[in-house]
Amino acid sequence: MSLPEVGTGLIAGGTSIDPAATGIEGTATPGFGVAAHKRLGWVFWVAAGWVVLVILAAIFAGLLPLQDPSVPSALPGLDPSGSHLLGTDELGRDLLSRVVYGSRVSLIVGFSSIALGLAVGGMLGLLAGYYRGFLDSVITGAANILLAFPALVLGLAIVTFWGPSLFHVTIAIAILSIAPLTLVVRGSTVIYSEREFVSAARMLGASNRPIILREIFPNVVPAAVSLGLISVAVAIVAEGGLSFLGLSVRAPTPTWGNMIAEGQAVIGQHPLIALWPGLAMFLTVLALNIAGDRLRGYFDIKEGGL
Amino acid sequence: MARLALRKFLMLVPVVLVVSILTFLLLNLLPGNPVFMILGPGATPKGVAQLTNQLHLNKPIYVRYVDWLWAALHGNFGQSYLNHEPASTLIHQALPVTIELLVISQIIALVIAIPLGVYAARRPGGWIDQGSSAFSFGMLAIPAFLLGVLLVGVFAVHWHLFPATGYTHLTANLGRNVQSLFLPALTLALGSLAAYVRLLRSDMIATLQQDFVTVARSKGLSSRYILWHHAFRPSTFSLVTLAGLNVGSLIGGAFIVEIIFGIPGIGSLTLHSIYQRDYLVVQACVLIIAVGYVFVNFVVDLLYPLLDPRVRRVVA
Amino acid sequence: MTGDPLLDVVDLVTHFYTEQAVVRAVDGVSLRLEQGRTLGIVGESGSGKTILSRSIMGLLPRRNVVRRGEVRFQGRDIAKLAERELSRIWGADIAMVFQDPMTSLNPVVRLGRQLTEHIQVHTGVGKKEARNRAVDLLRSVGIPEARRRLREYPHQLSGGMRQRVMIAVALACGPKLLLADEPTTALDVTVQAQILDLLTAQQEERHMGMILVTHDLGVVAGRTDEIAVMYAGKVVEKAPTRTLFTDMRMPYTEALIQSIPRLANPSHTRLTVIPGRPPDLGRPLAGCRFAPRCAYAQDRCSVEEPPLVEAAPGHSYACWYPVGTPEGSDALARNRRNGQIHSSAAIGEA
Repeated sequence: MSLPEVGTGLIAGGTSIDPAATGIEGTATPGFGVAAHKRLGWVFWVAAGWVVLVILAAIFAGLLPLQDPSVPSALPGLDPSGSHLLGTDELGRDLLSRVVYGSRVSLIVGFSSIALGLAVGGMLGLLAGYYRGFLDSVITGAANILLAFPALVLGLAIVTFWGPSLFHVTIAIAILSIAPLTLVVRGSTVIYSEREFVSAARMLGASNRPIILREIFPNVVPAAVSLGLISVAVAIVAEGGLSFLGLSVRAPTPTWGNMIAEGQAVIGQHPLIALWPGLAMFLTVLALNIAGDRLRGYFDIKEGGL
Repeated sequence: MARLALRKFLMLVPVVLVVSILTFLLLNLLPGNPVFMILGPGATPKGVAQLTNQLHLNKPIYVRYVDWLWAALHGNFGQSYLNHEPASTLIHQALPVTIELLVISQIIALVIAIPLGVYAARRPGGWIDQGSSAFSFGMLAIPAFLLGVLLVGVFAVHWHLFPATGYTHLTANLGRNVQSLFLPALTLALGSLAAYVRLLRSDMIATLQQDFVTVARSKGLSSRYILWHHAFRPSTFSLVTLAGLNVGSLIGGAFIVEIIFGIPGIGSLTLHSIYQRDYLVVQACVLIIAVGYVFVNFVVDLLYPLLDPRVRRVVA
Repeated sequence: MTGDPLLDVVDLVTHFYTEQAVVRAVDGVSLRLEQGRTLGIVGESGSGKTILSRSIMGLLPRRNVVRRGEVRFQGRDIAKLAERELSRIWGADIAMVFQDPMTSLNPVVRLGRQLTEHIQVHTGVGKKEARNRAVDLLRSVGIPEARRRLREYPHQLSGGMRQRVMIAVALACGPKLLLADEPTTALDVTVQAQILDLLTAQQEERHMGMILVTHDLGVVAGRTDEIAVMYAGKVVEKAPTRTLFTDMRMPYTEALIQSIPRLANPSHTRLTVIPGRPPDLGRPLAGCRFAPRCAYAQDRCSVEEPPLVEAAPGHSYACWYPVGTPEGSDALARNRRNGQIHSSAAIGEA
């Protein structure tokens, strides 16, 4: 009897990612509606739109008419008003600009750590899933052992002993993402390797490398993209947790995590200070999850149409 | 059956061994000399030499590993250099707290998830189904620390129902113990919820299409009875299993919640030790957490046949 | 009310609404069964016989199904009842034995419970008493070590034993009508006779009305008082058992009987088959539905549907050119001359 595999707390405690669900096996997800979708749907486009909006805002923050996020520009704890659309924080800094600038860290860490993780983990997974045998056992065994480690605690240890910085956080999260990503990509590769067109290619005398590149890789890519999006969400949460604990980029640079931490102290009197960054993070993570989930459903269906 | 258990247990040994090696290597290969970190800027050459000797840092790494492992097998994980308490004592105090928190959280999660999943499966596409899957999906997007902060804001600060932080031990006062654990447990529960609802829903939808459900109808049993006593039953096994696995993996994953709510569990012990560079304690904690995960998985795997009659050896 | 037959089905219609079409699984069936008698319903797969038995009971999916007609059980029309009221009758007055004992029992619930749960619901007795009754039931269906079995799970029994348990489950509350839907199809041949004997014995002992649904004429041959032959959702012939075998009128019935392999035939005798395939219940044809496969068919058959007439007491059939009648024999001979018959010689020679 195979037991459902529960991923480790790559997210900052509490939630756990189920690799089988983010994988390509097409299990039921807590998505909207019951039937699988043939189109991406308007929900997808709204979600994708939000992500693009956040990315653009982060890139072009300097060009936007925003106050300096690190400098107090008004009285502390102000409610939203004309000049401060989201109000000010406990030091009088404009919240809107802090949220926008704060997105930079989340996005940079999120996307680059997963890009790295997918590059390494994806390659390992491809190799393990295609060649099987001893290589597969070694890689899968190693990944499973790594999964036994308390992920974020390790990330913490790494960052603490190494020193908090954008680079260290990114590397730490990237390293921690390798094991789950490897397993999922491997699973998908195994499924595709066992399909007929691969046996056909082999019988035609193609050697392994072109098969991997031409047959399997293009099929695994769409699934990897949706997996990637969902993983970026996880990475953003992980970075958020780290900066909540003060172990990411240092103040006064705003990050969503450290803003929430600052807001925690005054949650009674000025809940908005924690709420705005929390909302921004929630919406972005939700949007990434929706986008990744819908993409996966979309590619699964096309799969079935073969 | 006992032989199977033994065999599975023996397979754990290499895994635990590798885990211990990795733990040790990781913390000993990190940049930064722990001696300097411990002593700080006021380090004197004499002090450095003394501490280095004390921590055996002058020996080659594999010797240190074996020493450490040997000591660990005897329950000696070294001492916290801060308060000179044995690490094992600290862990011994902290681990049960975390376990209690986790068990309560999974119970809360199941109590909420089971009705949601069952009634969602009863009418797929109905409003309970759509509502609960939207809710679960949303919950997956809220990081635990954010959720914790929000719950504190609402229930502790605004409504004074629960303490914002602090922990009362189980033996001291049961009522206050539960009260102090409720919000953190709820935070963890809301995160685990989604997986349960999803699992239950898809399991039950499949079960409800089985022949024996029609047969049960034909016996004149009520829909409600059939739903809970026939359709729900096979799913209980996978739910309990998943809950068990969650407890295993959350031992190390609950630390942010522990920090926010001031629960002195193993997660916050680990974190504080990290902050203070108390690396022997960190090493011990990480090892215990990892071993705990492996061990819980093993126990769950072993106990599964006790739950599910289909998997038991058929007695001829 | 005394005088009423146990079961009186009048013009029962069951249509399923699917995306592609309306599937007319049961298209106007009327039956009657007296207490203590056995009716056999025979037909190929796809004839609608299983749906018929479920439809009589009312055990249909809740959505996309339309059911019309009357089902009078002991004088009362149960087709009009809502499921809540029906569930009082199900298990208690009308019970069903299902085809596949492997999937019909819940694998994770103990047998004892699967026997006692409806006993307790319908009769209100306590758990202990219900368990005692369960033990008696298991004994009466021939299961050894009955009390021990109560604690066991379905997978611990063999297929034949499981079906006995299913029968015990159906009989638990002493129903007056038993519907047995292909009760032996999923079993080994050696076990089939035992199960059928068990059913017959129980029926006699309890004086129940029983409907035996099957595709196998051999099953109903010695065990039923009356047989109804179904084709494409309709009853095409109904007669007392002996009459059906000796005096059948519908060509389909004749073909069915002819297709039973006989031990008396020399070895390597070619099996007689009915050419063609059962019709698509979603697209009914005009005229007699058996016409495309019938050796007796004439032009009229594809245009006008023959009504079910009771030509002799207790014997009804629906055919323009029945077997054994002058019109029928002429039709057959005509088709032969025109070379429209491809099957082997057995047809038409009684």
